Amino acid sequence: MSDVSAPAEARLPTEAPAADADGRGVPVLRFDDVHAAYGPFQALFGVSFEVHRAEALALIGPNGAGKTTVARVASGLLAPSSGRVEVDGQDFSDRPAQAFALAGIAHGPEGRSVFATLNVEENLVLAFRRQFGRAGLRSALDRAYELFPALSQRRRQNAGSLSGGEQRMLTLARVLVLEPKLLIADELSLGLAPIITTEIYKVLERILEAGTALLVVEQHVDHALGIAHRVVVLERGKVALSGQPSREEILASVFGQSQDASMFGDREAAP
Amino acid sequence: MAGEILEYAVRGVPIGCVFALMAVGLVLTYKTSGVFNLAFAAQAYTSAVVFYEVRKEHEWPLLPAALLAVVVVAPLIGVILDRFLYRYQRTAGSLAKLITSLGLLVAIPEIVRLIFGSGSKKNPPALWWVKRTDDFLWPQGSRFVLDAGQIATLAFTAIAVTGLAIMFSRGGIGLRMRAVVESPRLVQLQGIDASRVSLASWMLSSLLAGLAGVLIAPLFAQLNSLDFFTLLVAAIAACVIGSLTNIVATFIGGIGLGILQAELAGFLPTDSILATGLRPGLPFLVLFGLLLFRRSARTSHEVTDPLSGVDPPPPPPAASLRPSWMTMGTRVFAVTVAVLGLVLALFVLDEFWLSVVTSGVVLAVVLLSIVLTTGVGGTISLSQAAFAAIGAFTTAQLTTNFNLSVLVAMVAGALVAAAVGAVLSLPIIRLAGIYPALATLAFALMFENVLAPLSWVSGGATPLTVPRPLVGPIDFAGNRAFLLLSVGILAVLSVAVIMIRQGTTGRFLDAIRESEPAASAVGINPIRPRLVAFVAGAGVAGFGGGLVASFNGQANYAANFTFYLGLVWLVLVITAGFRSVQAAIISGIFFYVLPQLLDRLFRWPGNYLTSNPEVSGVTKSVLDFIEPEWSLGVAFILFGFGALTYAKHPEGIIEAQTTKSIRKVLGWIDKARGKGPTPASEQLVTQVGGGR
Amino acid sequence: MTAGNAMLGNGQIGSVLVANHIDKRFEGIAALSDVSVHLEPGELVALIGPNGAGKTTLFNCLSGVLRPNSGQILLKGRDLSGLAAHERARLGLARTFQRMELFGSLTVREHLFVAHRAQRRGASLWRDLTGRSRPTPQEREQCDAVLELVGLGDHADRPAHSLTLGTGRVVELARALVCDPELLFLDEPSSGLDHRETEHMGTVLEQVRAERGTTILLCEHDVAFVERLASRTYVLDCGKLIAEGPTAEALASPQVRTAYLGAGAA
Repeated sequence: MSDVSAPAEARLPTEAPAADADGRGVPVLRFDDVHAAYGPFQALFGVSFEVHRAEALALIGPNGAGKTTVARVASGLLAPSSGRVEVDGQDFSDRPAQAFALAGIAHGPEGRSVFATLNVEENLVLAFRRQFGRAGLRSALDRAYELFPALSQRRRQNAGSLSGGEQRMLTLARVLVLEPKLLIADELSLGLAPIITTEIYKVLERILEAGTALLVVEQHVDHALGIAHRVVVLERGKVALSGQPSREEILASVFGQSQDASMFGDREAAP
Repeated sequence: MAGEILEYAVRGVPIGCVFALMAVGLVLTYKTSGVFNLAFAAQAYTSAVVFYEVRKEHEWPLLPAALLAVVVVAPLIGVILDRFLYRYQRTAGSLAKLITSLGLLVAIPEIVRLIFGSGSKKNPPALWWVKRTDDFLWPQGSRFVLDAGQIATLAFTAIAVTGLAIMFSRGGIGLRMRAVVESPRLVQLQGIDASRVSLASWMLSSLLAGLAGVLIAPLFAQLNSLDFFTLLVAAIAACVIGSLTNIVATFIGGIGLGILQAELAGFLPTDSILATGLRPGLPFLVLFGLLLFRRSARTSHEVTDPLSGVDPPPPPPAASLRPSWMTMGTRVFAVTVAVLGLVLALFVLDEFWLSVVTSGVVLAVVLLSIVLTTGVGGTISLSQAAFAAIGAFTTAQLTTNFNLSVLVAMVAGALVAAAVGAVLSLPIIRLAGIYPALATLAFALMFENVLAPLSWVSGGATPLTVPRPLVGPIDFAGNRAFLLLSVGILAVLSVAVIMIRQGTTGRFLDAIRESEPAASAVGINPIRPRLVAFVAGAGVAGFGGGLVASFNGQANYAANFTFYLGLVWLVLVITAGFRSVQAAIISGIFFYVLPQLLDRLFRWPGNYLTSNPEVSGVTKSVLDFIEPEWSLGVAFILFGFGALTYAKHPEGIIEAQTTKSIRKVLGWIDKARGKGPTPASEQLVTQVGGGR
Repeated sequence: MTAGNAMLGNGQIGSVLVANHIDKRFEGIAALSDVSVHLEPGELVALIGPNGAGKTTLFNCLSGVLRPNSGQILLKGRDLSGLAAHERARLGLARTFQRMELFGSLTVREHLFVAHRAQRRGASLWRDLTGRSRPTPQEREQCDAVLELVGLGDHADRPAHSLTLGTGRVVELARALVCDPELLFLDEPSSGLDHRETEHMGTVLEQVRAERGTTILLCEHDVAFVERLASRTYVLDCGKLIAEGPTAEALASPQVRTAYLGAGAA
């Protein structure tokens, strides 16, 4: 945790806000020794990290390491049992999820997170009305459909009747168009065709350049390394490795044995 | 002829509006809160009583009375329901919510009676500026004259429907309400305060319930909560016309039902079986016809919260926590308690308490049918009391008319009930989600209002007598002998239910309940095991009904088998834990013992005052205030409130308590051995972390 | 290629599955049009395609969850039309689900017992009441053999809701295998699994094929996984087959690259 190294300078915005001690301004999101639990089952044991403006941080780790839990705590869905969550330097530890959303944190939860009984357009209207008002709604919808043309053919269809991948697109359309302060993307590529995954990562690059901070939760190490400035590797609810470790270091840490590494090398290429 | 058709149609519109208003309220609540709120009838009744009290008893002017009953009291109930109840159930399944509403349907009318007294409330006033509904008639002298109550119904229905249409037109609060039903957390992620939206939807739907109640009231000669329940059938039929989602179709369906009913009333000869049977049974027939042919009712619309993974996982069942020595121990303990209880009942209790306990044991046989149908079979059935009544009537008819031995007649009663259950199950078993509950509710109310009064069913107004069994030399006429017989029957049937639950049928039903697609993918017929459980459950209920009749000496519908009693039984068994046989037995005994205990409690102040005449002042007035007549009402309120624990403990409070005590005992053992508390297993943490 | 195949596939003797000219429309919109597939004994065939191409719809039509509007489906020469999902399952069609469908409260072993019993004997109230519903030694033996084959021995007595996603998917596979299927449909078996779990799933599938020779139709997005396992691949786009053939060839076709893999893909 202490070995957080400096981010890739080239990708830092030049007009960084008022610098603090380490010269990087107030982080958009900061976790300080966060513990979290589901009822009697503890999932996070003292996780600390921070994400700055226009910076992409990837959370990597095997299933069950607590990646999704971090994403849930970071968007206010789950309150930390101890420790501190800061948004723009303010304590948000006990705030409800809508406060996080209003502070500019957008979360695209993993899996199919759509309102199944509402149609595609209603799903999007619900997401955009607050952000863009009645006036900006039309253009926000257009941008969403431009991003995922498959959705525009299904505007009046109930989201529950979409295919798994299309539901995933709808979830992402909701958060990508918002261009928030921090975007939490949980398992972006899960269940999507390679061509669409590539497209989505292009969109992420674009909004990153526009100044949005990214918290990317990824199963796919190469995808994550392709976009992230820094990496936090989680294992059993603790930070095992952080900073800018090499691919090999991550693999050795997460998957231990060498045969996994070779298997991993055979997997499809990163976009 | 054409003129008559039109005349009857006009007459049917106001009652159609009442159906429509209730139905729209139900659909709206279902859409905006996920609750098929059967307690809607009870909420409507509450507002009607409040309006009656202030307008008629206290002679308030119309406006303040209407404001109090509809705009203050009704939404206030909504606020209470949301804040203290449904906000904790937002992510619960629609079944859990339905059960909560059943509990409220039992409890609320009793609370109203406690507050406003149980005296009869005759000629409820209309929501109009007149004392009696026929003080105002319009248009005067026409063929289509309407009274004040009907005009109020038409006017307020129009206002309510217009308001709703605007709210749900596009993108407004209606959209947010629908979204909150599915996933309050996902709504919060859009920056919307889900709890405020849900509060608003409860206030709105409760307002509608209150309005419906006040408008409906003048239809009846006097206010009675049961009449409000009966209206539910027509309202549910209208809801099904709109597939539980389409408000416009629901509204038109409600009005159509009203018109159809009026046409039937006009054209059918008054004394024929058609008039007495078909007209009140019409909504039921329409409902069943729809359920038979509507495919959408066969697929579950249940959508689960995609973010339910944020909730802690359910606790493991007690059985998996318990070490085997403890299982052995609890079994021995349970048998010992049962035997001791029986010995106590047989040799220590006086005749009165003996009959109370026997009533409980006999009822437990009927309640076993709930364990079989609902707990094991997974079909929520509100018609178990009707099946019991069918068994009782068959037993009575066979012993009276054919001189059959009672035990044989009981078996025949079980078979007839099972046959009725089989016919009924053909449409019901294929239904998904909450539809089976609605269909059985409709059947139970139709049975109560249409079939039970017929003489070839029940023997007419005077209940038929049923003797106690006489098997060879053994006479079960005495209460002690009858108790032994009942305990024997209960034991045999309990073992049978356990065998089914643990056998292949039970396992298949477990699989179907957990995942119907996966069950059929391995070759399990998803219909057959549920049908078997439903029919067997109807049979057990029928047998129990015969036993109840034999114990009481008569097959008395009003005293033993009403829909309302069936509702209380279901709520009680579900609260105790509807998968376990113990729950049925304990519920049966509790059902009769608790009111008696409360009766003793509430009698005490009166007795104390009689023996201590010197008591005065505040103490005296407080003690005077308590009435012994409260006992049954308070017992039912407690039973109803019990169901509110279901959402938290779907496994039942018996199971929940067992789990808790096992945890405690295991904790003590660990402590005694010097170990720390058992850490949460790694695997479970993992599972939760990857929760989907 | 597609058309020729469809004619060739017609009633071919020895094919495990032949599906001819399947059409499926939802409210007038075509989800599948004129799709024909065939599977030969012992083959592992992959079905890939962009999201919403109709892969799951095809699975559902074949397994009986949906009724196609037209077309014919033959399992070992037997016409399956009009048969419900559970009836097809008993004829030897087994499947797993994209979104895990386990019987949460049952243990892993009980999953297998239930599936085995449903295939062969079914439920009888009379046997339940006379206490003859326990698993027979033969059933135990066959279930244990499958548990061993997929490496679930250690988890056999754990309830399904306490399993990780990776183990859960293997349980689904085992539950399908215990039915001793003629044909096994796997719907995205590696979806949501991490590298180690995906690797394990691949190994298990290879073992299954080596020991049982089960015919498998695999729907997947993980191209590496498909390349490793499948000998033949069908590519579906917008409800139509756009390519078919040996996996490497199918993936190399230009149509597949533009519709599915994307320009930059290997």
